Amino acid sequence: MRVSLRIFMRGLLCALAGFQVGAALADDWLPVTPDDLHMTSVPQAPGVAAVILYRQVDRDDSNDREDVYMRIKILSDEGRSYADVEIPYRDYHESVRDIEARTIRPDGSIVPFTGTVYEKPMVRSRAGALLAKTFQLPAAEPGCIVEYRYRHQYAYGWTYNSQWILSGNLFTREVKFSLVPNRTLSLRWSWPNGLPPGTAKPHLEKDRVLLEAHDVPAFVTEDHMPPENELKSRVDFIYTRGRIETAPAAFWRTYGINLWKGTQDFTDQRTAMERAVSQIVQPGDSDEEKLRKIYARMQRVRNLSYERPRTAQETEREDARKIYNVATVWNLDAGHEAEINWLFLALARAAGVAADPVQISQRSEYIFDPRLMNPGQLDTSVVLVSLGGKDVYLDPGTPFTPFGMQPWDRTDARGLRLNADGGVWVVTPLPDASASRTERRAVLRLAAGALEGKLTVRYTGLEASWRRLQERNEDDTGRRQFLEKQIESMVPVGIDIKLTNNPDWSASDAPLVAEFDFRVPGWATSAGHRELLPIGLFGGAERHTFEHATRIQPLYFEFPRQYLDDVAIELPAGWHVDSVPPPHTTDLKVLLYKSATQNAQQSLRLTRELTITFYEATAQSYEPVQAFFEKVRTGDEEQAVIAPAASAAR
Amino acid sequence: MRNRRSSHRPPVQRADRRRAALLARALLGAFALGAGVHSGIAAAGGAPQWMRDQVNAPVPAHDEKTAAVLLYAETVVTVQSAGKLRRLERKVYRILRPEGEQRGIVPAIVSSSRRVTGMRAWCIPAAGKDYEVSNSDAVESGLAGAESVSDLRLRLLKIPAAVPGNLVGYEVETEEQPYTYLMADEWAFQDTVPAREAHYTLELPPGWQYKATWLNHAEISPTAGANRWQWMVSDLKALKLETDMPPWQGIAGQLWISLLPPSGQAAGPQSWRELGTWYVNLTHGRRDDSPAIRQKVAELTVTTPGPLGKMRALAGFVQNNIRYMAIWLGIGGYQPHAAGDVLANLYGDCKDKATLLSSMLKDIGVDSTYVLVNSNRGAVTAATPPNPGFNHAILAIQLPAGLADPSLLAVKTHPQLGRILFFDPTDPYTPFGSLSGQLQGGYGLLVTPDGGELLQLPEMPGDRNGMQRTGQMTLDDTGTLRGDVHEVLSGDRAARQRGRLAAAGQDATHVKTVESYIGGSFTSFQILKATVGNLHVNEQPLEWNYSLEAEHYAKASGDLLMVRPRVLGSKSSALLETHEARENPIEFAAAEHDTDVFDIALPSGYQVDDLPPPVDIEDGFAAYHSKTEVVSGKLRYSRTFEVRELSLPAAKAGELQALYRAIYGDERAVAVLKRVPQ
Repeated sequence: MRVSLRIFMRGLLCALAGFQVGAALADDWLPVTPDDLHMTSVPQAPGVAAVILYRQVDRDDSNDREDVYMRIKILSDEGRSYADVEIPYRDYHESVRDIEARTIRPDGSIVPFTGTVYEKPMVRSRAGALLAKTFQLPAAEPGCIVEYRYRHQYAYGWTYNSQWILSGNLFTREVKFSLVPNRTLSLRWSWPNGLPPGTAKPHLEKDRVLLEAHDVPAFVTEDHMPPENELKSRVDFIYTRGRIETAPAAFWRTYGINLWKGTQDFTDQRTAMERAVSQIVQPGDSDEEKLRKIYARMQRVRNLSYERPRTAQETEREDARKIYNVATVWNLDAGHEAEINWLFLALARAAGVAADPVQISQRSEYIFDPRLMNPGQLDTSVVLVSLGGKDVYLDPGTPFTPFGMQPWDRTDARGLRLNADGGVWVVTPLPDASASRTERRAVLRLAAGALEGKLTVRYTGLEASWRRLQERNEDDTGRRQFLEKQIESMVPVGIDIKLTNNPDWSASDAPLVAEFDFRVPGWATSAGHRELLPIGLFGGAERHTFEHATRIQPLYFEFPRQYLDDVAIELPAGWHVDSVPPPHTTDLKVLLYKSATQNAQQSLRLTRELTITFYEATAQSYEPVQAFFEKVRTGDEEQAVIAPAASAAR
Repeated sequence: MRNRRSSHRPPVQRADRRRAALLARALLGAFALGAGVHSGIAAAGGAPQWMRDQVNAPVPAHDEKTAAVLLYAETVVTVQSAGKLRRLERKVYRILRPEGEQRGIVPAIVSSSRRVTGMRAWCIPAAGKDYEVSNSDAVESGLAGAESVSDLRLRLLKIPAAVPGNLVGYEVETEEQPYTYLMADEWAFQDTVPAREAHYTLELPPGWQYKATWLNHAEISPTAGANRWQWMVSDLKALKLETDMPPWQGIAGQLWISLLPPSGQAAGPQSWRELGTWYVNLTHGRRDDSPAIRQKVAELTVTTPGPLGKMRALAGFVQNNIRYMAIWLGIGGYQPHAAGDVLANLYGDCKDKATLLSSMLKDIGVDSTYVLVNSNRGAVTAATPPNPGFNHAILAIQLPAGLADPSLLAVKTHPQLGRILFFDPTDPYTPFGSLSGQLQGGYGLLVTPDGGELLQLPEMPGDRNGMQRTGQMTLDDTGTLRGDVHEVLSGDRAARQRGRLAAAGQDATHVKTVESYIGGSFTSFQILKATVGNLHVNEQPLEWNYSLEAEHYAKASGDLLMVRPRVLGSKSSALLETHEARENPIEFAAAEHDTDVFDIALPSGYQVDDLPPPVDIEDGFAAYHSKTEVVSGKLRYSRTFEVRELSLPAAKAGELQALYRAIYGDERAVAVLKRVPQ
């Protein structure tokens, strides 16, 4: 280890990841083949603006540098933007040097880059600056090849965790990576999202790790997909001091024991906790009553993790009293998310209920795999209690979470239930779709083609808690606008909507109920002397769901949920129902859609159910899911026919 | 009807306060959450008295959505004898809602000609000690994107505790050595929040004078002292941000101060003519040709007959082969690179492209000159005082005598230059002869050897911009609709579509593009094939041909089959479906003229029972006519839609809303087919 060896989290270089593409600074440029000069398209990526013909990244952590080589073929006018190059770097730890670049015309003639390399500030503060070297390759036209190379030189003695990103925004024909590890540290590497098909896994050869890949597709972003970072092919390099642990079981055991000790140190305040719990529960309370009372009390603790971001000055003023353990959390009546959870844990134990700390991974960020031995992904906590012989996971540290539930990204999440031996792996439960409902009940009348009346929307479970959490720092006006916009997004046409009640934004278990004055201009459609009423009044959200015929990425819905609609429509005087569509049911087991229209002569009653009981599926499952949502749209577009009395006589 | 969207036109740089304010406003959102924004530590002292005076100031009238109010604003501009401008700006806001936190971020623009000499800010909380932060706590960032290099930087200072109930205030001092062309100052006193009072003070050295021009506000006389003048405005209404509204400069109250030094000292341009002369001098020699330019011109025109063909060839080359890349350093925001360099690099910004094209045209004997414009129509008007408030450069090309062609639309006759064609070589999709909608009707500075002249750019006739769509469809008795659609897009519509297709990139079959394009018209459909014609031939209309199949298109109800004759496409808009009355004019993208004709062959065994009524609306600014009829045994839906104006006053918003609602009803109307008894 040299002067001031520090290991930085991978996040430090996230902003630079796209530019960690590399190469060795050779004396000469690589030869160009006639095929590459005359290339006009790539069969694997038809219609693209540009492709990476060759990319090389050679990192040397023993000499604090990374060499990058990039060769890009421009295939269309839009592809010319790849001739404008921007290389970000941090001014206080690294520099970018030895930039060389050139343009190769389709006839093979060379236009060397002789222009200015500009230094562009991106962000500068007292703590340092993020800059970019930027330059523009001349004579770049469709058919040209642009290539450039440069060196990232890091400050002497600084070693970073790093990544090789394989999935970029361009198709890559050939890419080569190498990394010479820092000899004074232990290095392990993993490729959590797999490698492109046909790619041999990274291997150590002499003193360097090597990887070569061919025909790597460009990464495609689609709606309803899992966290993007967890889909892109990449290789993560993580340095540690001392011996490297290669067996996941042993790695997590060591990690779990340390976490357990830390949790015990923080929660071991028996006397204080017994005194505290006596203020919350009654001696005759059942275990469940005790837990519910403690849980409710924890949700009233000031939660510092969910307040608006403070400036350093504000934080300094407010943090005069530091938190050392659960007793200080209790005394201050304030703490961060995990601190509140651990206070709950300590109070539950003091109340005589068995409770264990669990460290879990959030699904919104990661698809956790313990084999990768990345403790950074085990990034949040819940408490596991035993209630009537059943395991119940509780998260009072997240505001507005109903008792017995977790925020959606902590459901069906892998976690480590900590104990003195390190712990055991557990998976948090996934609530049923019926636990998280959006119920829309409307009583309307039809007049001059418009629907008008009262709408009541009742959000339960996770549907209520995420809304309360998102709007926690808003005022009444902001929350009203939020709720009204939610309804606007649910109805497929423009509406007039006005909130008329004061919803309970502070509860955890109670549904969030919003009442509105509601008007849908022009909902009835003219059909000569008849009028048609589409029955899918609240089908706006599904109107564009999976409208494309093909899919590349897996599907992801966050959590199971259910939409239940009940709409009563009073017809204008003298009008009657001519016909109603037949009931419709589409049941894929994991997806259910039901709609029905009841004719009560002078009125209509529309009911609709959409239940989604899964949250993830492979891209191969897309076809039936897409067909299902087409049926939902078709069902929503079904129409009841109404007519004035005279029409019946015709 | 498509309304105008914000411009993405590359700007000509100008490091003045107006641009600074706009850029800062645009970036505030990105920095609002304070990520990476460092705030200072210990408070050095309390808020100054001028801020403390506002603690009990009455709050101006506002509605419940108002996030903050401006209680006090003060600007003091001191001109030093060397023409250097020192500027002190103070503001005090009361935060009313959580959204008002954005007012706790203080912006300042730094450039090669402007430095910030002081930056301090305070918060007076409802309870507790004041907070104070200063320049050393600020964060600075570049303002240029990847396609540009600029010396403009944005410095931001975050004020602690900018929460409801608290007062935040700041003081920013800057020193600027303005370019001689910009011996002026602008006081932009109106904002999106109500203001209680705002003061502006001008201090001039002996012998200096000023000229004041008020924009979008009644003129107010100053109180005068010794070489010192003060203006005050009070109880200013908040400007409302609305979709498709005119640009900020076109509606916000401003005071423009032209500075007039004593005779003998260099003064800024006092007229458009003088501003033009300044630009003539600035660009002197930049359009000179070179052997490489001559060779390129020869190569591009040798096989092209006639002057129009040659002009088109050169324009197409600059449009398509010179990639957009801007380097704005110092005067480089205004001064183009030499034509020869632009050709050698094959990149440049709008003025570089105009420069190269002008040079190339000269080689074939066609004269042309710069026109400086603002890509936001309405930002510069006939009332705007002379100033370089433009953000884009195009060309005015003198058409050779006798040259006439129906494709030459953006033409105006000038008393000295004769027939001139306005052309934007930066716009890759608008053909030679036309002008994009966002430039039409706007004002630009025509730069001639005799100086400059502010003139209005021509407007294109609506019938040269639009879409003609026809569909030959067949409906079967299960309700499935099949058929082929043919679309011909011209003018701006074609240009926008070309831009979207270019951005879509990887969709080689165009199927996904069409799926997104028409998805709103069907619940269940499949694109069987799609082709696009003339994608890269700007001079020709863009043509779409696609085949589709839509199951459940017609809905059965007993013996009836309900079918929507308007198969696809929408002209209606929910733009005006809001609770509140429209306050600003509505800006349209361009005049346009669209037609749709769908023929639907009916399933055997069915006959038409009922048809939607025709719709005929003639407003002065727009027209809509549709009808559904049976022609040769087929159901035929036909309609025309015209927009005749570029802008509509807010007072006519009700008429536009009624038009949109009528179109909406027509688009959803249904024909009823009835099974014929066997």
